[in-house]
Amino acid sequence: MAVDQSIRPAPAPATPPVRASAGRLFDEAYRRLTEKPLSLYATAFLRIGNGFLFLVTLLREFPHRHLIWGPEAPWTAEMARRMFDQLGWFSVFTLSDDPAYFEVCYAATILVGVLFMLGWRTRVTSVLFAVAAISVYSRNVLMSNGGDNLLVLIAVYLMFTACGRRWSLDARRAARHAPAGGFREFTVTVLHNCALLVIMAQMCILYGAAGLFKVQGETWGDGTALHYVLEQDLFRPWPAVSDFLDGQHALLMIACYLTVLVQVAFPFSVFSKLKYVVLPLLVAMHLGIAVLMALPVFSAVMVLNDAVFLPDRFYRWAARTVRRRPAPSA
Amino acid sequence: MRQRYGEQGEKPQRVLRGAVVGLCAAAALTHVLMTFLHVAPSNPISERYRAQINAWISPYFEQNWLLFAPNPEPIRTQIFGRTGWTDAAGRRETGDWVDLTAADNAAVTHNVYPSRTNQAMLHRAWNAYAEAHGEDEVSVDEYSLLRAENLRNIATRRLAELSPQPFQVIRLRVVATPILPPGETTPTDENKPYTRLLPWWNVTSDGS
Repeated sequence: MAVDQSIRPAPAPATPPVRASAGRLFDEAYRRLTEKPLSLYATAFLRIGNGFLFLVTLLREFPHRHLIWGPEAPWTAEMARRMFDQLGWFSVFTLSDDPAYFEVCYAATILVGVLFMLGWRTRVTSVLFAVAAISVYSRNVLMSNGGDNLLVLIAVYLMFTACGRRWSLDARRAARHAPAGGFREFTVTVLHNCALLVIMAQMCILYGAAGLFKVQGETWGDGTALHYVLEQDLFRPWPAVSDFLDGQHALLMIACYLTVLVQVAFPFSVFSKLKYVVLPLLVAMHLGIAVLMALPVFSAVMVLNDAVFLPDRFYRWAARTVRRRPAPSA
Repeated sequence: MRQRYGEQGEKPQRVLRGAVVGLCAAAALTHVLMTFLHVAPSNPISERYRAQINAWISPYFEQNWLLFAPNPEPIRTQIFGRTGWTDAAGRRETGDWVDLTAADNAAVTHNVYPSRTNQAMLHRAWNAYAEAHGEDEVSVDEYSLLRAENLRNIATRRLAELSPQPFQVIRLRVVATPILPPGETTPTDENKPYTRLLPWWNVTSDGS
């Protein structure tokens, strides 16, 4: 390819070596940013995963929807509006107090989640999905958790990506048409790659901060933090298991140190092969949180978005493996 | 021949493409930098540009990653409520203290995926209230007012489900029991349960 010529070392550099290498670095960055949209499978996976988990939350809380986001909520729409006046949030749910309006909004929110997951007219749907995620989150901030917070952020970032290019209804339709080119495609590529970079940076900031804040706590330092976590009544669905683990002091200490270490190391390892060590450890950690603390969707959102660091060849390999497996007989 | 930025095409096209790249890259880097400064502990740069950082981050890029940091809550919280009403003869009556936390704990036990109405609603409402209120229980600003109102509405709703008759006032009592360090079984003077009694709040039993 013609563009690749530019990164090969020139036969006789006329400029001083330092300047030449800085220039090459710039050329290389420019090429990577503009050549093609990167990690299309990863962003598609994030689209499907976040859409799915958003739906799981809405369907899980369906019987309690009035109490959390609707007309019966102790955090009334009027209170939410007062909070928006202070903080500037927005939610479609607070635009009217009519119970019928709430039901329509809730149904629309579910529909948007489904369409986003399927990748139907993804650019428009992704904007609607971000609005839906923000609306659900901000309608009752005091009942939203860190997983919801991350889902909102990723939803906003995904608007700028070409996350509908793979594993989507859009992809099926596009296969029947000639690919578009030119300035429009160039802009889509640049936006996508920049947003991808932001998502990666966001995950690094998340884990880096979570790790560094823990370093400041003495219970993480002396390895007893998980003891206090296991004793929280609202986060011990299996009291016998929690009590058993609580007795294993050495194990808990190792888990404490490993948690902090992995979180602090996250930003430094995900851009190298070390990610194949760190990511499975994080999956194990979140699996533990999901089961032992009864926080399945929170954990799933965290793990899911870690997958932005997996290369496209991993996703292609995974897709091939799944497809090759014979269908289970019902 | 060495390719220039924007590869093939006319000069205006090249300039336009360069501008797109510059704008997108600048926006992305600014966002990452702002997010970092917002999340990082207070430092000379973030103090100087506090207003700009907040304007960029708040509200949609809010970051809340204090997951069990710096320390997990070292206490177990139990919230009790009681109702009060005036009877036909004009006498003031009060109901018994009811444990409002018990139902939440029971709903979480042996549940793979509890509802947030049990896992978060009352507990988070109390924490939010406690963050915004001193022991004088006075709401000093809109934040603390909203949080007090939220806690009152949740408690009213729950008490209404349990109370045999209509009531006009409610009162909350919150018992914080320190979780003992691992291996210790006998509480010392320092980690005895601590009780906080809130004032009577005017409510109506239908929750409004």
